[in-house]
Amino acid sequence: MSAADHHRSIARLAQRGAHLRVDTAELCCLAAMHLQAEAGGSMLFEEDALAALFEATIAAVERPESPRTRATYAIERLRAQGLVVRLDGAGIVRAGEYALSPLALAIVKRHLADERLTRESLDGLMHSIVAGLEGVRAAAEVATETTLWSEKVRLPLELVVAELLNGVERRQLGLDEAQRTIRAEITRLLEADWLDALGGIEAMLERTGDTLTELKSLLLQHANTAHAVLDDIQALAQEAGRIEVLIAVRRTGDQIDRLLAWGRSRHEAWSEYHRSVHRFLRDVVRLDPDRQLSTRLRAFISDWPQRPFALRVAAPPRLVSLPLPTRSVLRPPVRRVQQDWSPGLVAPVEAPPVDIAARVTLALASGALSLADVVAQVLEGVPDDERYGLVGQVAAQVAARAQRRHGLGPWVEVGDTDIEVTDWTLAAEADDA
Amino acid sequence: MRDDGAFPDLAAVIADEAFPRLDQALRSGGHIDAQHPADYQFLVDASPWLEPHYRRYGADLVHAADGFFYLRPVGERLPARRLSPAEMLVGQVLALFALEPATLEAGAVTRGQLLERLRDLVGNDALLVALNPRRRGGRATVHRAEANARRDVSTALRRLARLGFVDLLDEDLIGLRDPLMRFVEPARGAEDPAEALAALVRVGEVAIEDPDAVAPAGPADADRPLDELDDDLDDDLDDGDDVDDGSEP
Repeated sequence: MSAADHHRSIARLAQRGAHLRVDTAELCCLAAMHLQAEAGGSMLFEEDALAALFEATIAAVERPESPRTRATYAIERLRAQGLVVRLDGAGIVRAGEYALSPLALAIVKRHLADERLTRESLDGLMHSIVAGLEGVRAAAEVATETTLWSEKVRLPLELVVAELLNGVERRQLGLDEAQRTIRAEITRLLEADWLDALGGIEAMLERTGDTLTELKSLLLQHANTAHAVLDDIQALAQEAGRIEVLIAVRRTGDQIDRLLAWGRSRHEAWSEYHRSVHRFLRDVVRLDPDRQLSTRLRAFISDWPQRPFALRVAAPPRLVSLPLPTRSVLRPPVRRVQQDWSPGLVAPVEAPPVDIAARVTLALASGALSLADVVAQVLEGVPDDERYGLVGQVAAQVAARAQRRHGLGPWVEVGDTDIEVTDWTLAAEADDA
Repeated sequence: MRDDGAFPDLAAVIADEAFPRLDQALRSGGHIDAQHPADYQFLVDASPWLEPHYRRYGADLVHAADGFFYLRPVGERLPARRLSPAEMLVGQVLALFALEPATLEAGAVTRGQLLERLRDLVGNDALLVALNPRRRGGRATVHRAEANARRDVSTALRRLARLGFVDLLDEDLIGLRDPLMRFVEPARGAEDPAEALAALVRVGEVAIEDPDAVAPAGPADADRPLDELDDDLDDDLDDGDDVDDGSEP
């Protein structure tokens, strides 16, 4: 199944609101059906018999006010969830026959079976696995046709041996759970009895440690045998060119390695826990039977801000690095180069080449209405290098003779020269001035 | 390399390939416990040679009854430092956890449990000041104070992990190691606490701090921005905890 299919399947389940809710009383009813079926030999229950069984079970487990009503409700809920199924197909016209569904059977078996890995269960399972593998090897030795390779070699490897290995793994999980329970029990005993709990705890530790050591060595021993048989099967499959069998052999080998890794890791984890508990019992419980140490340490911590102290520890020596002598470099400050942007002084023209006054009079008389017009007319014919020096004299003459209509005007160019003046607008009666 | 588990002389100890690493760890304040069995066994085997060797440097190679080694400077040749207030408080509370059966089952504690116990035992306000005495005052917001406390505890945990007191198993879980029992040492005797501390001071195990350095003070810099407070922490990491206790050369 691809990742996209995987997500779609989960989304469909979520959309349907699929759920499974079985309370303790209902689980007990399912277990009662299974146990009665095993004892009586029939898996089928008449409707009345089922109701009576549920009623009796619920009355024993919950003691409700009306066991019959509760039983009816439980049967309905379990049927709705597909855990109890009606098998006769007769509809509602007559009473039917009921049985546990495969799902309910699996749930009941999981809860009823003591699936804890013990020396006996592991030994039995591993013997079965090795025997199964030996059977597969015998079949592989004589297999010639594809059908035989498939039916006698690949399928037994994929189904029978794998199922047995799954059985070991399930029991390993059961043992993990048992270890968690033991740890919790040790904590509970210490908290309840402290010094008096020592004997029981030590026995519990030794027992679990011994079990794990035994299981580890048993796993190792059987795993070696199983791997040897798998190697033979692999060689035969390689010779016959049976890729699908090689894949099944590799999967089985991986599963056996997983069992071994579990045994090793649980043994190591338990050893670590064992060491911690023993240290705790030795250094804490035995030396502090009245639990005064914790009380005093608590007081030290509470008082620490008023009575501080610090543990001393070795410290790595500090590396003292002296600064290297450096020669200072004198750098002149960055300065902007100063430039003289002033136009400079122009010497006044002492002997004008033209008669300024006459030319101004003429210009005003000809109707010039601005200083720029007057200056342009006066400077006409004057050499370029002398014009600038004359402008001031022209302005003085205009100011004396004409009347300004407004104040200073804008800067304007004078004719086709390079000179600009602040223009004056002159009044028409300037001629009289 | 040794075959029979014992060293014929100091030269053989020093020639062992484990020596430079362990020597450096011990001189940096590290603790070596049985969680690293090879290193621990090396020190067990080599201690008859290493004890006089380090004594020449003015330090005791201590093999604690709880099953770990560390170097305790007593002279002036080997530099020493004191644990910071935050390291002390965090270390003591973790040691208290190590004495409780509930911790035995889990084998670790969470940072949340640690902070909660610190607050219970020291009090919230006193804790904030004690964790970082240089950050005085109490006008910080609740949120900021919480963030400061978490950061101070994280810094202390990192340093304690470097010294081999704890293992930081992930972002939340703290694994407790045997050297934490050093923090229990002052509480072991039945005598007066001051007497117990004085005895440990005499052997160079602990140093007495100035109460004013860790007592709550006014809000002198309570409003300093977080980044300045971070600078304080960085200073601590660099050199703030290298308090001169008089034993440095």
